Amino acid sequence: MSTAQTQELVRVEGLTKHYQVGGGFLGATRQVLRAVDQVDLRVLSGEVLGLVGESGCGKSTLGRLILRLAEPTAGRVFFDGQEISGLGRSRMRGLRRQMQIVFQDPVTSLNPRLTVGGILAEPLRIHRQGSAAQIQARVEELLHEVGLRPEHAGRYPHQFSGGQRQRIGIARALALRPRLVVADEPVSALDVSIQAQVINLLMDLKERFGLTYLLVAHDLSVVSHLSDRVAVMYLGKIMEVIPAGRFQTPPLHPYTEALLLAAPVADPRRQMRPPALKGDVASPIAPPPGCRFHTRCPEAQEICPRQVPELRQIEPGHWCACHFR
Amino acid sequence: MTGEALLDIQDLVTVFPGPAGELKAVDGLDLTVNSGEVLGLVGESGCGKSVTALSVLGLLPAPGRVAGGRALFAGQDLLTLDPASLRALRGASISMVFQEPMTSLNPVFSVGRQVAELVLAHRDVSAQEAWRQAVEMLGQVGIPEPEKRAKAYPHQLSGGLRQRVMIAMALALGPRLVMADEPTTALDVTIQAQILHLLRQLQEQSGASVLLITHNLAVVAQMAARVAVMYTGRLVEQAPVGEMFSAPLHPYTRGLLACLPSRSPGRGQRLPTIAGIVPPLDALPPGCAFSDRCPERFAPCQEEEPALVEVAPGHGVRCYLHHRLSRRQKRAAA
Repeated sequence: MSTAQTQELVRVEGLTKHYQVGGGFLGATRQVLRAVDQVDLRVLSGEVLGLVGESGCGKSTLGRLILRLAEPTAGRVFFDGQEISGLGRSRMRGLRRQMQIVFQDPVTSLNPRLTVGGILAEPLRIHRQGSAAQIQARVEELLHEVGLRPEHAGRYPHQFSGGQRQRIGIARALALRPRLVVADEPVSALDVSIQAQVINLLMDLKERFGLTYLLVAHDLSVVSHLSDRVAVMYLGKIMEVIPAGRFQTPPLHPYTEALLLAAPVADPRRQMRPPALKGDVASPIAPPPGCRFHTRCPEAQEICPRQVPELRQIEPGHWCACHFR
Repeated sequence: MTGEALLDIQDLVTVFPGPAGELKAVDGLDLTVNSGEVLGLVGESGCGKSVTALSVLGLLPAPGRVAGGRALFAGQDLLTLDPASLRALRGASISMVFQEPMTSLNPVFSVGRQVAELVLAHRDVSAQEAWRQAVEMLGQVGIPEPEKRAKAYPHQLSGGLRQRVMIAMALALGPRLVMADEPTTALDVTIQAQILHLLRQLQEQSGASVLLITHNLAVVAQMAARVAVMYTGRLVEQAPVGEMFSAPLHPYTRGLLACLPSRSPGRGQRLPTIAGIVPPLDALPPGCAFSDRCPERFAPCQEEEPALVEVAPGHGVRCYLHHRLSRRQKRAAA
């Protein structure tokens, strides 16, 4: 690996986001939802870091915290060596050009009243990226980059298919030539055949523009196909960080093992196995003490509810938060 | 274990009004579900797989309309059955599991009451006995503490437990056919595994047939004995599950399987894709509906639509490439 690749672009330390839920009126008790709890993580420059986990595990919140689309309750975020938590609006605005997001649902994330040209020009205007003619040229260039045609600039989002709308969402994220793109379930709303097209596009663009992706997704096959490393989250905590090439090979965190076992395989010769995990994900309000996974873990021992396992390196490049790995 | 046809859909046509005349959401569909089998019906959004099930059940939302065909269930045509008889069949002999249990369950009644109502509507039992049976059924689908959970309202249960309630309701009256429309699509992967396993277990115990409608090819691979693939309202291929995944014939089926990341030759490689997008129903190409996207299109494809032809036992395909092959095979055999 070259040094350029191993340089970190993002580092988070002790990142925590708690939400107050319930209560407020008539004195009902307020509760704390621990969406992200004491997370340390690095995203290396030029890599695709996959972030997987089931709904409510905090993976989307973590992506938003890194972009400062949500303010953390505690912890620090560094972008390219500079601490960005606590930066003022104007200094943050300069940085925002370098970090962009692609959302899951291209229908609700595009302004229906703007033409595609307007949608793509908006960030360029806000960040004063040249004259009207230059912006116009850049819009055409962006459309071309994501596989759309120049005449599409005059049309409205509803005139496009789901896959094309996601291309528009990607073009908008690329408009300011960012270094980091957080892609939050970028293909999960798309049909299988369209999903493959968008996956290829994401890979091409990364190659062409040297992008770094934080890929938030629940589909393990998509994540392991696209990622260099995979981080697994459960109830607000990182359970494991592992090179994608070793994602299927033990030793793995018991939760990662369970996720892999649970995912159906598109091969009828593989027998369906009895489910590895019983019960539901525990609530992020009052999560289980100790290891958060212990209530569902088939290997849980006496120590698990008592002590939070640290995320520690168990092999080169492989980090795992389990007392028994 | 699997036997004769339990549900035999013949030449089903379902139409929706469009700006320039009626659009055929289902166009001449022939599909058979044998007794005791799990048949997977797959396809991308808008291919007509859900509309097929709703048509057969008489649940098609207006302004959709069944414009032709028959759907024989144990010899009775569901499409001409009077509403009262159809209602008696639905829930008892034929039941449904939908994708989103939250919208299919009534939010103002406890889940136990909803199962009990179903029992009361179809069986001659007291309210107390219906409740007892409801609790028992909730226990059978793996709901912990069923006496307590029976009193819970849908919003008080997790998505996985709600889907278990839906399955309890679907199986309450010992149906012969269960239509499951994306039963696990809204669920997390570990919960999906639980629900699929439960469905499989209950199906094996009861011997009911299942029509499993899904876009997820992996789910079909693990659950179904036979697979039928739909595209723009038509069946383009059907085959036993092993053959469908090891030797798919229709270029659309082959394309769908090839573009799954899990079947890709290597991590980070470009995935094969199917060019273009599914055409809208009012702009289908002439001839074969897949011809405008097909990498193997040749002259006859845009002249006339190919028929679904059986090219091997139980393996039908709607594609001229394989019709030719099959004739050659026939000649070779002769």
